[in-house]
Amino acid sequence: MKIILRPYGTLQRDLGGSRIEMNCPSGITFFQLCDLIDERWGKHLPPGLWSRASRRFAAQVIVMISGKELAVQQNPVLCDGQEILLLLPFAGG
Amino acid sequence: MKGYMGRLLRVNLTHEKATEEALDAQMLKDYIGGSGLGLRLMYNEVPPETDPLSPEAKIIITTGPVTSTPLGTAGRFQVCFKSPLTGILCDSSSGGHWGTQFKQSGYDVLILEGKASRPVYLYIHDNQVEIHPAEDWWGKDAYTTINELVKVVGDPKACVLSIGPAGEKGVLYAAMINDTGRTPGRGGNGAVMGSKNLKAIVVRGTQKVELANPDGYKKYAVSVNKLNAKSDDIYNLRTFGTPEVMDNNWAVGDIPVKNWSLGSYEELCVSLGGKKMRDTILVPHVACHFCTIGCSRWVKIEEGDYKMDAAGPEYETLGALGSMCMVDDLNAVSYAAHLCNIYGLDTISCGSSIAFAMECFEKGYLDLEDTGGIELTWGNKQALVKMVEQIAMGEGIGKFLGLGTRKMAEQIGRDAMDFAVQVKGLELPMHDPRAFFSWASNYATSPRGGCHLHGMSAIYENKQDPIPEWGLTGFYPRHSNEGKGKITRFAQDWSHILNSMVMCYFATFTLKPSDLGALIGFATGYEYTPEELVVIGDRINTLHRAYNYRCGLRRVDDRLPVRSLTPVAEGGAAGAVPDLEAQLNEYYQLRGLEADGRPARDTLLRLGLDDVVADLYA
Repeated sequence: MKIILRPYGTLQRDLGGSRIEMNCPSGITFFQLCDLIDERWGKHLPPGLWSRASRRFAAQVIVMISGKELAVQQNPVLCDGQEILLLLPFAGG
Repeated sequence: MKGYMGRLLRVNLTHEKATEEALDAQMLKDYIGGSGLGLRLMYNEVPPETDPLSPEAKIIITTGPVTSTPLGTAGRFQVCFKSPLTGILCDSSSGGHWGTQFKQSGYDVLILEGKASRPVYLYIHDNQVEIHPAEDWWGKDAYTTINELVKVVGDPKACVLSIGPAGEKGVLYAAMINDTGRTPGRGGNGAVMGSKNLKAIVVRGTQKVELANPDGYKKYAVSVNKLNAKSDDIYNLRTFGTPEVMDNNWAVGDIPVKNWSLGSYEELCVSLGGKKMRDTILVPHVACHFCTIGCSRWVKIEEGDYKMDAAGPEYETLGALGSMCMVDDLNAVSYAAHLCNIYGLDTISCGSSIAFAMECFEKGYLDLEDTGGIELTWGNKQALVKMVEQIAMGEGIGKFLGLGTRKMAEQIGRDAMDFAVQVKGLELPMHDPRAFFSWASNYATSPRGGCHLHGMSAIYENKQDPIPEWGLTGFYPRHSNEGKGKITRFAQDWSHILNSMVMCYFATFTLKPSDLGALIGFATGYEYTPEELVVIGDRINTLHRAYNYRCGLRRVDDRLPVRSLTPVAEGGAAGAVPDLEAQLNEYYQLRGLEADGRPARDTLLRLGLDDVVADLYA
């Protein structure tokens, strides 16, 4: 099934785009998706945004799935075509 | 006196006389400089009952110990004044290069008092002060005035701080404009300057600041500049500028849409974002003094109704004139922002006032007779541009909109105050307290009114151990109220230190309090510890608060508008509302405030504000 990553901020540069389709096994969970992210991009993601040890995004990255923010320990099962927003909110002047 | 020129310039416009005074060394140690120093001097010299637009009012412009050094962004300056919009003390900050030239002309502080008998401009250059007639420029826009006065003084390196027609006409949120479109935007300082018949201040200086440890300073400053040049945190700021916030923050419900009534509108926000700007109208842009971030935007629109080649809009402006008014045309919003610059208007208050008026029009509280036939409907970009022009000139309904949302709501009555989104009369900036809960206590207690620059608190949410050197450790999720009073307190203290050094917020995302202490130490010879810096931040905040208390402000004024505490139905902040009272209770306890908002006697004594004890506890 397809999962779509939508990174924002510097994550777009790090992951190589603003909309990235990933082919994933059916019934994959969010944590399993993170394992795939680590395999593919772990070496290139800055340590401030991604932990290679835990294979998770850093706390300052806000993950939103279907318009709802994912809490730190939440590990939902993902659906085909679901979009996962990876946000780095910033305060502007 | 290392790090400073050691001199204050006082210009009495009534008598057209300029005098110099030495700066008090202990005052500098207690307040560092910049807004800390300016607020202290305002407290000392301007009674709280002073009418902000009277000759008795003063404008105090200050620089700090890092101004005019090789540190990136060290060309900024602060403007302290009593705000005609809010009626309380205000300090505003501007970038560019004016601050550098002013300090190099021989002074750290400029105090403007009285009122000239006819329009004048000042020319301050290497310890000389000239006062010249300015009738030829009265009525001209700020950019024309700036360009012409540089030619008049005959020095292309001269910098000019000017008002436009809005300041001359006393629009309550008129703003001074400097260099190529920078501004100490908030609070109405342009109106105060206009009330003194002062059109512009031209500065040019060639003097060097003597630093305590010039080699040490240069090495440290260069390392900070390099850190900012290479930092991942800054990369997007350089590439897309602050308009990048439009591309990102819509998803978390941070960007106000339709006068704060809609929680999310991706298409609208992205149409005004940094990427759209880069791909369409952005041209190579200018940076501030020694800055290695380069967040400023410059835009060129070659054809059509919005032709321009000038400083482009920042995020706050895109929000206020764009998403707040439901205008999705980047060219139109850029042009409206440009008009704000040339006429001299605070874009946040201007856009918010227009959005408020659009809602009044929708509700029937204003009609076509009131607007002179202009359809003030959501998304009407022609109306947006027309309103900016009318506000600046004090014409038609623009005269009413130029009062700001609080006064407009007071006059309209009904439920208008519920959607006049302001705190203490200052329209809120474009970050939603329903998206990041710390904005709630921050906006409610910010000493100049609803403001995100006296404490950029949200950057400490969703971040592990935000300021460990100040004991701000732990993790503070954005939709939790726990610890948000604490975040607000320390965020405010951080901003007071930056505004007193006079350094840009963006240059400090990668820094710690000890870095700031080190910079001040290399400059002045006195290195503040992190603990000393937080005391100074607390002192400045408390002094500002004490002045406002004497203006009549109480805890009841530390509030948010009804609209900010009404949940939105959609987006990344759907259903979320901060618990302001809980945050305020924590904040009050940390700041040492009494139940009615007055700083406690013990607090004042601890902070060395003994004179304030006499004023508040007489």
